[in-house]
Amino acid sequence: MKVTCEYSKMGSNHVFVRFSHVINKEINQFIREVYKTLIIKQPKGFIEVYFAYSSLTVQFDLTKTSYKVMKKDISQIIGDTTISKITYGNEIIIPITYNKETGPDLDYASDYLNISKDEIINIHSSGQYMVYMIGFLPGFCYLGGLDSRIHLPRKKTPRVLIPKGSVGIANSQTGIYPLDSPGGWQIIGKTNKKLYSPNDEQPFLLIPGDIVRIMKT
Amino acid sequence: MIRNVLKVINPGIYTLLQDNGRIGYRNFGVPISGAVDKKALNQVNYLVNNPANSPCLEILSVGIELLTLDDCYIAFTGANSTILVDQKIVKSYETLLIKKGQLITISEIKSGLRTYLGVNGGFVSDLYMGSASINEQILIGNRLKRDEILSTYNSHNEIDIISLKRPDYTNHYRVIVGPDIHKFSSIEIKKFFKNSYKVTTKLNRMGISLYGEVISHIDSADVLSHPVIFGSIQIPADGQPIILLADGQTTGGYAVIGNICDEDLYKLGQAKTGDLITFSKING
Repeated sequence: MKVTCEYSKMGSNHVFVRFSHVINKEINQFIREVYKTLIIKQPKGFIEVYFAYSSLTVQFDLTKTSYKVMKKDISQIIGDTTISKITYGNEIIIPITYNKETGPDLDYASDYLNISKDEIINIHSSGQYMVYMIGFLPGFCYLGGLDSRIHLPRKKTPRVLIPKGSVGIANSQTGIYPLDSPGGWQIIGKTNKKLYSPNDEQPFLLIPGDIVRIMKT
Repeated sequence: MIRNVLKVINPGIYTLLQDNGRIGYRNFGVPISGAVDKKALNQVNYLVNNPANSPCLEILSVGIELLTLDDCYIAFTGANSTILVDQKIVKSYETLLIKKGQLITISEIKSGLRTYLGVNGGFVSDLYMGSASINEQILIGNRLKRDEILSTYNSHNEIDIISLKRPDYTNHYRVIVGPDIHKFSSIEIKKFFKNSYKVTTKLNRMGISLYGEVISHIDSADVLSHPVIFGSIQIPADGQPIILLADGQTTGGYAVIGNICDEDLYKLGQAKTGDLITFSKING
């Protein structure tokens, strides 16, 4: 696969690399490979790398390198990266309860999509999802692979409080709130599984590349 | 040796232990956190002979009252505040020797928002993902509470009394444009750099919402979620800029018109409601 990208300077000490303006599984896989290589190779002055669906950013130490040199180091890694097939991480099963209490937007979803609530629940729970990225909140996973029959727009006005564990839909994405938080996703269910445990050695249940399957409870 | 040095009589409005922040967890959605005004943090540590990254108290506005339990060297930096020790005004940006039984209070802020208090030896604190920085929103630690005892690692070493000059806190910020500059016409970009923006009441450690001339997008405010940083300036659909701070989210879906340069970030820690902010464009 041939990958093109554009570089821009993000503030004084970050190199921003955008591979695409849309969500694409191959590009996301490519970025995960580049991420791993950067972590292993640690170019001079490298501090941190993090990514989203189709872009990544690298923080560097201005006293040890420059934008120009770090950009060159990154572009070399990108040039050397090839992917032949999509690879996945762990497969994690998440128990989800779908009902009026746990999923306050199920009624809206049923009206909007013009299909029954049971059907929405069946479609959502039978899906297999890949973690594309983590962002917004610690451990908040952006899951791709949502059946197009149940895509829903974000709420016009975000809720002030979405309880921890709530399962939401926003357009083609589904995701789980790891913490109580404000948010604009349509909430259809809830899990008791902890996605974020700040005091544990391994605070995060899921990482990009993992596969999520759902157990309806 | 650990030594108890301060007792919290009144925690004030919102006081947090902060160091330079967390590195290496943004890919899991964990913000960098740390002092919003990192220059003040580093300066206060310098004044009390600590490594630059030692945890200090970040004190929002006025009201804090601390009782000294044992003689110690402390210093204050950041906001231009009136600091009293036993009702007598003391200088900020200078090493102070405080005696057992003395009461420390912040009674007034002349300008700025956050005062930093450092103690020789550094405050004893737990590390969460490599940093002492508190971020209650993501369940990392707690704000200072009444009756809490603060301790340090130091012995009774004498240190030099030194002073520093308070840096410039003019609310002018140099911006490197991008990465979503394609979402704005050149007229709108000019408008952004020409006008001043007022800091609204929507202001916390995550971000500062500004109010002023509306910046319009060519098509929409939405971009595919991408990494953002401390100092990113987002323009949401209503056209009013939001500056992300130390506890800001790691990724965002609003168009980013530019990012404030590293040298000016510290000043954001002192920007408060009603302040006027201006921006200028640099190549970086």
